Amino acid sequence: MRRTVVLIALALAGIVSPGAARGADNPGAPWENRVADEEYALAKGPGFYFMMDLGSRTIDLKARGFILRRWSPSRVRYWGTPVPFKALALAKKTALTLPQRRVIKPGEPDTVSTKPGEFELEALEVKDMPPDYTLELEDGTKLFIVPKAKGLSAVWRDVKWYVGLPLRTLKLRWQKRTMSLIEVSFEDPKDGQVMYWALTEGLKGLVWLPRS
Amino acid sequence: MSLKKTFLFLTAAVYIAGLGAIVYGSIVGLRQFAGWRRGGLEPAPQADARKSDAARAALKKKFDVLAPRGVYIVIDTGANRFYLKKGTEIVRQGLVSTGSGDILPDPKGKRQWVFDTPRGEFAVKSKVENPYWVKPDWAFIEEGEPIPKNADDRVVGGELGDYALGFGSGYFLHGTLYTRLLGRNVTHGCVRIGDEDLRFLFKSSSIGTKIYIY
Repeated sequence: MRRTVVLIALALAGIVSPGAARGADNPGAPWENRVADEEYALAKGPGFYFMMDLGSRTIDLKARGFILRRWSPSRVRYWGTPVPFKALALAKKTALTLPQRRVIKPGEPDTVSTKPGEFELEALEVKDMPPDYTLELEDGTKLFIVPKAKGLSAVWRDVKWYVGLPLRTLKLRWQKRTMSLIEVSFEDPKDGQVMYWALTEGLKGLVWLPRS
Repeated sequence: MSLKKTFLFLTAAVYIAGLGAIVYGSIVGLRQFAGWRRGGLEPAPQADARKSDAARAALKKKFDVLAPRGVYIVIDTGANRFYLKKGTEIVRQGLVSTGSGDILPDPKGKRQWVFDTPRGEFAVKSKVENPYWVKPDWAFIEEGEPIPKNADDRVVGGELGDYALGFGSGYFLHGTLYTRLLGRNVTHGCVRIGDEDLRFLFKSSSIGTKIYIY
């Protein structure tokens, strides 16, 4: 009896929830056209915009229909209510440590000497950007941008995703609320930093998964 | 029931309840997952291949109209690089210096300057050879010097290199004496370019050439 109970418990513990994302290989022309239609509405204006294809795992910063910069994350997974297929603005960027601008004191040099012949520049650069942060779209969708975890950190992150999120879903269901979460992992943390630098608040864009 | 049995019973109950919650939450998640596969949209109406191809061709034409004609310049302020492009082809690329992001408050007033290179789509509005720099107020404030009353005292030659391409609001692509700082975020907002690259850009572009800065 005891052995049966233990086996059942282990079997239940082996159930993990889905969230990994791979889009269809062949989205189909009608869907491509719908994406292009939505993109054209963004491209015809002078501003930049982003296009996030969850299927092919690409994030593009674009202008007038051409790519300025492309990021290819090592993994993208999503959870919750699908992001609506319409242009959404990047409302907020949040991180544990935000880059700080230097306030110039008149008459002070803008470099700090560390060794003879060398200097450390005091300016805001990509290396000062956080590699780990959250982008929040205007509809509340949260994109967690993270460097790829290894070892125990990866296990903990998976536990939070596959165990924590179902529990959170349950809690939100009780409260009659929903959530949309996307986790984007980069092999090189610098890619995340560059994306933080390039994607500015107010930037509009599309997030979609090609239809199977 | 003994204390030990009660404890084991409660532990098992909590464990099973927790697993049950995870399973139920997963089922809810699975149903939402199906929504992602639909692309978050109502299913598209069935369309025959010819209509789709025609629509796609029409869309491609619309996008072709948007694309910049001839050469255009792309500035990556994060990597501090420029790209002179024609279509998707890179004609030339190199290092630049862009804004430092520093803030300079005016000690005497309420003014403040933020030294960012502006981002967005711009166009070449002016082309100048042998430009001279008319130093703005912040250039004196930053050095701790008094702001001159005479306008002629603001004019400095030789600092902006051999050429300058203006793209509005007082911002320029121009040369620099500080070539060792190319590739770094050091400027007050303008884009500094090395001599050879700047000469090439100046000769290749014209008034109206698009500049994209991100």
